[in-house]
Amino acid sequence: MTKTVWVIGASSGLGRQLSEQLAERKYKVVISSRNERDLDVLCNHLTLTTGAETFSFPIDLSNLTNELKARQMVNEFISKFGYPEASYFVSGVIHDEDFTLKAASYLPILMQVNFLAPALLISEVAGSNPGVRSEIIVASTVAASRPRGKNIAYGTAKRALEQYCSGLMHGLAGGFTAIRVYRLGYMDTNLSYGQKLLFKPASTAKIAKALLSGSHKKEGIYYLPRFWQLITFILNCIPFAIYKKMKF
Amino acid sequence: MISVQRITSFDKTEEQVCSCVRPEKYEDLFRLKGKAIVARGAGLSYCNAAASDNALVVDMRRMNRIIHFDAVTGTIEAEAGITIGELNAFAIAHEWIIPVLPGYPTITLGGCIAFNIHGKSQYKVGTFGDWVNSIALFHPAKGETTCSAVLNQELFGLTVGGFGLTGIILSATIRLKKLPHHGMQIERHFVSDINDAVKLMKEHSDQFEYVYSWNNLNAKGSHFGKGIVYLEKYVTGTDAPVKYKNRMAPGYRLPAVQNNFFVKLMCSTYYRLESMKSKKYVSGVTAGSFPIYGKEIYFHLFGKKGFREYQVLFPFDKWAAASDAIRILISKMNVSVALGSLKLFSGPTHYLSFAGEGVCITIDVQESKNAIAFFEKMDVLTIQYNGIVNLSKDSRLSGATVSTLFPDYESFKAGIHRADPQNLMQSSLKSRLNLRL
Repeated sequence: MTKTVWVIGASSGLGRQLSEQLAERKYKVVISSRNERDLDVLCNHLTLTTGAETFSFPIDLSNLTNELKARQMVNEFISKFGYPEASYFVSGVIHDEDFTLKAASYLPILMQVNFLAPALLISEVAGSNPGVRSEIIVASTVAASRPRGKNIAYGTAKRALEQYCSGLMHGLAGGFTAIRVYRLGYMDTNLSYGQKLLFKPASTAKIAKALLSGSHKKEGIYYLPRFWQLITFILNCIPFAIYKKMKF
Repeated sequence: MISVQRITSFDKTEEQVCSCVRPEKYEDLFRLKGKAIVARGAGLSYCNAAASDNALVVDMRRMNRIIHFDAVTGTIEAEAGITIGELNAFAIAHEWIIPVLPGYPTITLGGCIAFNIHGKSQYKVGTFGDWVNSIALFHPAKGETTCSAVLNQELFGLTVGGFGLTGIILSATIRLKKLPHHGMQIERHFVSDINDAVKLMKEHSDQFEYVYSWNNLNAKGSHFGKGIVYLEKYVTGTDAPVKYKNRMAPGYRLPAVQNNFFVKLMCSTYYRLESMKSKKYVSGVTAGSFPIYGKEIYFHLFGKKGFREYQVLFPFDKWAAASDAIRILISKMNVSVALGSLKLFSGPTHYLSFAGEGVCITIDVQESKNAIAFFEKMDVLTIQYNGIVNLSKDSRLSGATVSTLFPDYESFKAGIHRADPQNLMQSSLKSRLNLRL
């Protein structure tokens, strides 16, 4: 039977690349994001270009505020498509004004979309496991490794998600569900388009390929591209007296 | 996220600093409501038709999905940012082919419609617009509209070859042509001069799918235009898919080596190399679809200064006199022509599109003061012999000259005003051609 995979945040960037590569591998791909039109167009594209079974399952993470709603969502998913043997949580929202004291204004929505809703869904997916080997892949960001004056709310939400997933990894160790978190560096998405960055953004196609080829890996937190592990290590070693003077 | 980028025309003669966005979702696009914008595809127009100082540049390359395909009728609907190479590869895999193909595969579907491009078989299949069924457009003031030959006819006519000035093309449905075989037989015929080339092309145009030529316009006297006529047709053969990469980005900065001596040497070497190759061979239809792919070095050798191209269509009855006048002009002005090429055209004219009946001649020269002076004299010749210039290959002509060359200039300008009365669709080309009422 064809393996069902679920991509949350599929309509653009890394999510779209993952959906394309999963469809090329002939999985039954269910794609989710907020915008139905984009999902339908991507579904048609994937079916036409790869011949894989693809389905659209719209989700608005800003409305997914409690356990009950998340349970209903996951139950609906399972009844329609079966239990997902792999779930990719790659959605993420940032805001231009998420810096210094302004960040507080965007804290509720960015925490909701980047932390609360994914955490609720991850718990429900893991909790509904009927006893099959499955994996949950969560996209985080290198911005979560050491806080700075920009993307404060976003970094906080992703850090919270990492913490939550780490807790689940420990609690569910030895069970059927493996959880892996990837801290992602700069990628060639609309957010980095045309920006002058310290390092060249990695293509989303390469990151998606690396994510898919990492399915044999154990639970844990990983970096992609891998050189970001060294960079974040160095950043974490810098004393705050120096770090506070760095502008990036 | 808005970024500031330096945008260079493909011929490298125009450069602008522009604010750019790259939407990947419809909601990102629709957020541009009320803003002055210009759509951008592969950025391979010879002029800055997809850049503006006064408007947000909308890079459409991530809006590139295939929406619908009917394998029975051979119609396909795709978003404007898809490259023609990808779309053609999809069609070939399903035993169809795009009837009008540009020279390079990374040109986008939206770009092909906006410039109503032609291919190597214009005399047989017309221009790209002849194969478009319908277009979905987004205008920053009007929102989303669909137009076709039966619905919003005027808008459809203005959008095909409308330089993106009626709105952003979101998607289009085009008709494909049934692919008879997967092989392409290519014949090389050597001709002694330019008129010999046209004669041979006319004689064989009915039996072959693609007919075009390479001509040495640096050859003097009776050898002017000595060259090779390429005749191509479908034959049984095998095909292999190609994964195209854009190696044409005008950001490449090789040192310029195209001086007079080098150009003449390059032309004679090309002729010799071609004469050593087999006169008839079969290639896969995919590989044979885009003749410029793999030859990008030719453009990069013009270096930082860039080059200029003059592509002009002369009516058949004026061709002999016009080609003779070009020969005299090239000789008199001591111009070194890096590329000379011919194609045959048929069909009606359409606003400012490069379409009509006659012989199309392409002339490439290194950017210089002499090149501009030469092209100015060419303008006079073009007007004298009732020719029209391909505006997608030109970064120099003024609105006044274009209005003399194209009888439909005023009606096109008025139509663009009706489609975009608030003047929200901008471009450097629009300003240069004075297309604002």
